[in-house]
Amino acid sequence: MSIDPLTRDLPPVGDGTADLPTPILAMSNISKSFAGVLAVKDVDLVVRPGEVVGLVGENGAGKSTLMKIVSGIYAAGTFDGTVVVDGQRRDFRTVRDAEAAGIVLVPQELHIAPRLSVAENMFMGRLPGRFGFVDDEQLRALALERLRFFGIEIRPEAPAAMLSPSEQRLVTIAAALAKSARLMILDEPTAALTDQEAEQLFVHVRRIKAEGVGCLYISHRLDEIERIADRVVVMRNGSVVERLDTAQGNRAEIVRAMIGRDPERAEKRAPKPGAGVALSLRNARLRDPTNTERVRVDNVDLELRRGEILGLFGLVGAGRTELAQAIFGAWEGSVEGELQIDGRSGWPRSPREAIDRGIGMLTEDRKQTGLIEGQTVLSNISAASLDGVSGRVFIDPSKERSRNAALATKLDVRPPRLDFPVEAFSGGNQQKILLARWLAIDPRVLILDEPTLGVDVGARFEIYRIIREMADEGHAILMISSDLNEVADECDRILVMYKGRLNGSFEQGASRHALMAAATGRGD
Amino acid sequence: MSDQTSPKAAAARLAPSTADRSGRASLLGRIGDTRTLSLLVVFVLLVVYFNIASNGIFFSPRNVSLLLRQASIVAVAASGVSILIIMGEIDLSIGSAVYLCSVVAAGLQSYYGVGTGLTVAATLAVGMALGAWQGVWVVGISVPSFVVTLSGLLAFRGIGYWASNAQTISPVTKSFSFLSEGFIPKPVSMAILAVVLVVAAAFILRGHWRRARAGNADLVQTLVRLGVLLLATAILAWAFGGFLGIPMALVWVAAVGLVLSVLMMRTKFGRNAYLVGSNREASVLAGIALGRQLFLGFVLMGFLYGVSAVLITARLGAATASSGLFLELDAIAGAVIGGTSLRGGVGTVGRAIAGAVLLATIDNGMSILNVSSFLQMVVKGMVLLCALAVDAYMLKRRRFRR
Repeated sequence: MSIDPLTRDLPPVGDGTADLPTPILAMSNISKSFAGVLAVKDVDLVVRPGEVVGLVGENGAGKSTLMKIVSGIYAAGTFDGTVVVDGQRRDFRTVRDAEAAGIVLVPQELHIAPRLSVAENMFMGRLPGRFGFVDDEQLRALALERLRFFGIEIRPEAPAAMLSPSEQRLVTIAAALAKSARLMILDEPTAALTDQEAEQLFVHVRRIKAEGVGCLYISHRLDEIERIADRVVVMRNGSVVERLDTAQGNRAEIVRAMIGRDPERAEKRAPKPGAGVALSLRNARLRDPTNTERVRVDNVDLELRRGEILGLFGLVGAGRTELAQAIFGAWEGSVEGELQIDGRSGWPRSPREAIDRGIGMLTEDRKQTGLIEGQTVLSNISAASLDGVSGRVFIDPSKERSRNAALATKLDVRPPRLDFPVEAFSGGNQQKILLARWLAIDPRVLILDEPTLGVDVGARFEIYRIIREMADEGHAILMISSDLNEVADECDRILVMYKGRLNGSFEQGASRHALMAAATGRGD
Repeated sequence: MSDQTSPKAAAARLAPSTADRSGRASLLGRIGDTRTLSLLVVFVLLVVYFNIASNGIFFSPRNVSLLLRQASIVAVAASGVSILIIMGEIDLSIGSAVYLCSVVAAGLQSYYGVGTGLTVAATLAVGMALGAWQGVWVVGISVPSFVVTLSGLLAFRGIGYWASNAQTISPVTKSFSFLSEGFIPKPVSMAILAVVLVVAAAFILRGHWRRARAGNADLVQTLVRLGVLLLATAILAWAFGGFLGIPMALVWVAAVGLVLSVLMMRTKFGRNAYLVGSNREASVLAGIALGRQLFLGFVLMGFLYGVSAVLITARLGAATASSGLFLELDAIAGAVIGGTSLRGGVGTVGRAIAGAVLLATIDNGMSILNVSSFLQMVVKGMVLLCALAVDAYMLKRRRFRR
């Protein structure tokens, strides 16, 4: 029997590959379908002790489905194929079965009960007990042991609300390991972390690895995969399309495998010189809504011209989103300074007023503040611009439909079905739907807050293309981003914020090093 | 862009999954969604059961006409509260507000001898004032509507009792009573039904023609709709032809149902109601004037307090101390049974009315079978629980599939 190295990850256990340790996890011929559509097709996957396997793929490639099979969320029998753990075939019926076998999933979204203690959060569902009461002593001891391993300096009895997002992530991982894990699955663990915090996380992942635990690492960020993964498995449309023995230096190859073609290269844009000023800001100062002593943004001047893509770069918490909210009339605290939109002064007092003055804002948290789930693509696109297709009272259905269909086609929303609920779409297409919402108001100024957050690689390049087209049509774009490459490649000009103030202004082509230095408080 | 990823190719690749998602494969799927279907099945089963158990008394023109009149007050209240629920709000004060409006109506009629037209206008105005009062608290002061209307539940009835000493206020004039208890003469009734049939059929055909032009017409679906329409009109014609004609109470329900359905499906107010109920934060960030939207909703609900009060006062010929007791619960139950989600953003006025009719069917059927009214409450409670259980189960299954 010949084994194709690409489609067959590893021969079944015990056939003479003696130099390799018994895999912790060996999945073979896994297929799962939903309502007749195959989500995962004949996938083999192996993880050995002390190994970090990077699992990458666009949204909808089947990664999550595969992980739900491994971790017992989809019970045995609802899919085809076999799962072998430590050389033994396993049929998990529940998540608890999988956990008992040492397989632990750290989900992308954290579920922390903020008022409970750190220790209680870590051992939720498995609190050590005595006669039905919680054994606080033992709980504390267990929690302390795990926290020490990670060097987290926090008292186990402190409320979990005191933890920063990265600490919460680490505590969840510590808790996962407390379940005597053999295999840990990390799903987008750095999504909410800053670079330094991510760095810390990697140190810990390496320590876990050294203890012989296997790790499946799912991420969109290829730079992370490159640094942490020993091997890379790429999925597309439910199948494994590429396996690489090392991640280093293979980024282009990974991207190609993920999207099935070469990514489009960004062409350098040449903004028109002498275009009018769409928005200008003098001495902007924002105060915290709850604590007026606290100044969140201070002394910011900026000028945004028509047809320009202005990047606003900085670390999380630098004050960029707050500034955007103030321009959009959504900041709840006090606002000082002068804002001019198309020559007219004054801060908008509500998003409605901002929209009337030609400002749109794509918010950072798509699910919470952008998408209106449960409603159709049609109404989601129209949400900010219903007046444009209505009389005083009634909506003109055919006018609305044809306008929105044109926008959906222009932005290439796939599938182009206006009657589908928005939650049926992938992250990238959801983002396009929201961009269509703002294009529909024909904005003078469009603020984009992290426009490609949680969007897969293929759609990311499409969104860049759309943004460039919008700028070419004369819309002024203010693009907030924490993604260094995105800012450096896509913006005509870049302002960097640090701790609520501007800390540098760069032209297109600035070095990444200089941008990062300004964002972390060095430079200037 | 390379050739293999052209939009056309992409569309072709997506075709199978889109066909699957639109769920037009099965015959049942063409008639309506699962929710409507299950409502319809339950309804038919109930009618058949009650009719057999009552030896044919249940499904007689006289009783069908009575049943529809009984359903009318809850139907009006349910259609109003469904709009509030869709917006993510609630109204617990309906019964008390309707009682207070009823006291006003009966008082004007019997103490002051005010004419029918003016009484109706005053009742509607008082209702809108009550709605506006609650709207101010919800919008201006951001008190949750649950609390505001809970206080209304106590206070409105209290004001009514205080003003009337909890005595029955009667009588009302004949012309006022006619507003609910009167009948449209049979020949006119038949003519009205014929017009309704023709207009509704024309709408269905126009929809079919439009979809045909867009290339996604479904002939079977259109035929089924026409069949259902024809059957419903035939039953109504049989009932009204066999017993006095169209009851006036139904005219109110039809008018309210039609106007509110158009409001919810065709106007900016209706569209924004769904958006606000689905994701309030995102709607505000899309520039929807939340305060105005909610305030209008409560005033609209207030208008329907007035309509319900006119119906209940005309029906009883009086304002009695127990008028409108538990009406809010029946209305909410009707809306929920009709598929309005208490999570907001989901539901239609038409189905809320259908839910109210279903509740009235159970009431009426059990009364005919001489089931104790105490047990009737138990059964209604169970029906509500089942409706919500079905809702929860479907949601869970959908989530799981995704």
